[in-house]
Amino acid sequence: MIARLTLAALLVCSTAVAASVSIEYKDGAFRVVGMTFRPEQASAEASGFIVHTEASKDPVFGTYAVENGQLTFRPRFPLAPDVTYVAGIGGASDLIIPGHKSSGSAAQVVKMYPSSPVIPSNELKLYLIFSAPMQGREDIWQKIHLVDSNGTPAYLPFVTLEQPLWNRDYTRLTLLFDPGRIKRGVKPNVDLGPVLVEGKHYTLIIDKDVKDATGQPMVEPFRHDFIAGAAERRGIDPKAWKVTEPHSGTTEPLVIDFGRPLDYALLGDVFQVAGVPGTGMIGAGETEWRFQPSQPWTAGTHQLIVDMALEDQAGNRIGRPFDVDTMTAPVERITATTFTLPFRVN
Amino acid sequence: MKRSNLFKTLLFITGCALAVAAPATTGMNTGNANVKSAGKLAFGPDGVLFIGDSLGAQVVAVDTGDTAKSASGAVNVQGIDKKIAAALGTSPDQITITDLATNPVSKNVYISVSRGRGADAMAVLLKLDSAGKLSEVKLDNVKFSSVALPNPPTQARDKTNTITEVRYVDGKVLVSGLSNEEFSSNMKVIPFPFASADRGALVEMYHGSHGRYETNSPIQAFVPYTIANKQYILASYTCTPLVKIPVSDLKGGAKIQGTTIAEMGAGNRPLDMVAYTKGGHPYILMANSAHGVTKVDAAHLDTYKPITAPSEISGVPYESLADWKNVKHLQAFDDKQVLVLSGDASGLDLKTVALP
Repeated sequence: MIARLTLAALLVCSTAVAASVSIEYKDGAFRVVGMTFRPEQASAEASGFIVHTEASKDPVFGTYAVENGQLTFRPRFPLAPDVTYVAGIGGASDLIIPGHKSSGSAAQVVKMYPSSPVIPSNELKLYLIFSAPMQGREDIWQKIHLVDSNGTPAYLPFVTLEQPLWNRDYTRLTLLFDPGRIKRGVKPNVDLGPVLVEGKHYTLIIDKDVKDATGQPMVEPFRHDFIAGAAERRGIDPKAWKVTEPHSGTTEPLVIDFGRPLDYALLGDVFQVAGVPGTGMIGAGETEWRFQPSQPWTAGTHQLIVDMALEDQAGNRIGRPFDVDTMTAPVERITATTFTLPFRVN
Repeated sequence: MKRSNLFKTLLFITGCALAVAAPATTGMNTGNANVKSAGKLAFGPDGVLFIGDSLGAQVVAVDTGDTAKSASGAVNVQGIDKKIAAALGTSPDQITITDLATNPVSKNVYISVSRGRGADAMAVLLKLDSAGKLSEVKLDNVKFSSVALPNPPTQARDKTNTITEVRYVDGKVLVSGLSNEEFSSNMKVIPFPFASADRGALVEMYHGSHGRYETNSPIQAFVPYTIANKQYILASYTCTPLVKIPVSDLKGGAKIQGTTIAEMGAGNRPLDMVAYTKGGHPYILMANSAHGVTKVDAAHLDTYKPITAPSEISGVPYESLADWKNVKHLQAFDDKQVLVLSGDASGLDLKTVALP
């Protein structure tokens, strides 16, 4: 306190005006009002003007400036709404900007994909869709549980990546089943057995304590029941797809029925109808993709371009199963990046 | 006397070589590096710091200008998370320390941080000097070069393209990664200085020659390593097989089969690997999610028989260091100490610890 008073006295001596000094915060900057400063005082050391959070005396990063005799401090980062800031300079009362804990949250898990109640026992990925952007913390792994019908938790079912796989908006989280538990003959599979056993019932539970981007927990925990079905080890065969061709002059949708569920996230962006603007939609159970043109179809042959990155739920690709018995069924390496499926519009 | 002359001659030759070699920062431009996420870090030559930017799908090389040699010191910051949060004007639960790197010359520690959570998170690069002072390395006005990671040529996907590790060796930046939609693990080898025309090789890695089956499980951590005068990377994966891959095999379009030389136990994810020598004997220190810190005997790694059948813990021997608790990151510091970030939800400490 004495040090501060001394500093204040020094400052008062060294400045022209020392009437009622105060600090204000406006337009992203803290300003000292009622005291004139020289340009060389534009630093914490030379002015004693410090902005810090309530939790620490260490100053926050930012830049000082003296403009027309007025000392300003512009924090490097925008003030966080839930943090209390203290701005102080000897000779004036501290300016306190109180933080407010935001109350209530709308965040919840709205959907899990695959949406089918039965998923293959060699399922590779689950997608969780949240109603609001989430925090993306690495400790989320402790808040995700897979339990069987007896309530017994599965042992390390998912790959606990240091940076969990969120989409850019932090509204979709990808859970990867540990691939070592799926591949037959690989050590984790041999040691621990597969995560999902055909015929068994499971529940995926996401704790309420998973926080949204504002730090609030979810409205409620998420529970989703499913049954592990037969393993899917077939490659994707576009020749088996049922194509419902639209009629020319109409805006009827092009409908591709895969006859089996495919990967939800990839379905969203692997298809393109060459030269035709429109909107793609994923059908129920992820077994179908529909394309709605934004203008009527023209007659003739059109091309559906499919990115070879397309996978089913178990990681099987076009002509390339995920887990192959290489002794009995050698697979050809597919090197093309797209596959073209022609269709007629009459 | 003769020896002294020879030494002088060598010095002269070396001096000439240094004089003609262009510094690694040649050809860099100054401006906004447009780093969207500050992720994995690795130092290259001449104070160049590589930043793995998963969200920006790029590797950025930044000229830190931090090339003044410093006597090796020590780091000891209790509550580094709180210190960083205070400087960034936020609360500790709103920051994530993504990675650390020690500048091999100055011994200053660089820390990549995400401020805020979710879509509004900001990428921040910090420098911790030997006096414990924290400062920001501004990335919006910096001398840098960058290279976009090769993406499928068809269309832009919404994927984070997570970079799991970045390392530099012999003019090459090695980047392991995983994309969230397509299930594939890959390793990119990018020549440095970055050439705009050459985006490096995209290489799929196969590990675990367990009988007949291949797997695409993601590399979680790796270190460049010389075995019998040949440059390898030593990579570790979830459930902890240790795999060696010759760097010379990492060519564009090549399909590499790694050689599994150790199985270090299931139910575990390796976090970081640091190679070092103590008493003339080589070791690798590994931090793990479940197994704590392990010290791997790295001598004669060329002599281990490849593990090609399902087996219990086997191959290269290692010991578990029971005293090293809650270690989140391990990074090389100097030839006597390793940099350790450890702690739990109540706080994180950053310190140098004597190599075991």
